[in-house]
Amino acid sequence: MTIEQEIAFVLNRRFEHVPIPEFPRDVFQGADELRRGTRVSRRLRASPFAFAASALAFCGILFFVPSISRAVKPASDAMSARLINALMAATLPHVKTSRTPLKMTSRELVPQSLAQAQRSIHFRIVLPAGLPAGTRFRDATVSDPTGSAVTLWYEAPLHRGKTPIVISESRGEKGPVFSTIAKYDGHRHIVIHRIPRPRWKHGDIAMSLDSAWLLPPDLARSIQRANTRSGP
Amino acid sequence: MSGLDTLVDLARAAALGGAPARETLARALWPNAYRIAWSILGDTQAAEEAAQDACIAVCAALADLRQIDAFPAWAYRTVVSRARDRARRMRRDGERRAPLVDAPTIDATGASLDRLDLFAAIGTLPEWLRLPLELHYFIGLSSREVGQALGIPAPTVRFRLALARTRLRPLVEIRLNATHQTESMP
Repeated sequence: MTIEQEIAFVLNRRFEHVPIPEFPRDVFQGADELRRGTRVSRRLRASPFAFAASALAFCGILFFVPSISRAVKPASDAMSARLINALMAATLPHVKTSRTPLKMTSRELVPQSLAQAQRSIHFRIVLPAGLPAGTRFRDATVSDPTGSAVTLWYEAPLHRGKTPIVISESRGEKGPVFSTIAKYDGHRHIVIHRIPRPRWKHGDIAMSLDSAWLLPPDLARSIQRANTRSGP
Repeated sequence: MSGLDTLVDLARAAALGGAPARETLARALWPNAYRIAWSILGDTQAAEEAAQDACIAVCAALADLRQIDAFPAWAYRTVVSRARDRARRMRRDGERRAPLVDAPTIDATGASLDRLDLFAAIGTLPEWLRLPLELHYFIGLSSREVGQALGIPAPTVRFRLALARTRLRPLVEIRLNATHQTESMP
């Protein structure tokens, strides 16, 4: 007897002794009902009513999903922060991570009128002098949540368009000496420019012309000179 | 005429005929479908449900089968997939799966001790080795049909059969040697 014959024999014996239950009765009646049900559902799927219902459901989803996501977003942000913390702790245990959810470090700058901005600023906002003729105030943004810094946005009619003149004011701190600007040179390279930022003090309020790199050098210097001359 | 040929003829008749022919086909398929399901699940109740599902599904979808000669492989593929689905559900639901070796349904009365070892050895083979063995040596499917039934290529089936034989060979050889010695004794 070969090994194949022996295996076949043992398998036969193995299955011979498995008691086979009786084939269930009326099983095909149920199967026929099942098939009839399937046919009905197929017919339903192909009907115009089904198309209309699915189109309506699709429109409903398009309408509701953005509003629901807006409502859910704050909770999902906190959940994502917790999930990322847990993943970091599980995968990189030697890296110390914060157990508490991180706070948002950036926030939306809300354009405000001068009076609105003044209400949330601790010092009196100084209006800059020496701006070119035709310049008009656009808005102010409170750039520090504690109310110690404000940025004033003006629009000057230069270069056949509206050139922004951005002036920052803060109490005490003077801000950086240079503005760092990254520009694409048109040949696959990004060039970093460091342009001097005109700064001056008005009492204890430090002011700087942040958009000096957008303005002609003479104009930036004249604005600085005009504000330095008209001290407090 | 082998059992598989009978099954093909019944399938041909059931494809043309009505409910009685389908029921005859299902009754012919039922014992081996139940055995294969029992081998996968190791539980009589679950095997009965899986085999019943498979028989109904096979008979209901018989009209979709283009080559009636491929019926055995296709039918056992349905049986295997239903049993595996059921096993997955059992694992997910945390149902206890009885070990095959200790299954009370095996009644090996009269079998010699070395055959019991072979019983146990086949029972303890992993499913990916045991199923090709059963479908090939017990049901009688060719390696190509076993491949179709299990969703694997025929060379893989042949490799698994060879591997299973290699694992069982020591037990078989011990038995064959013992038989030979008994016969040669004066």
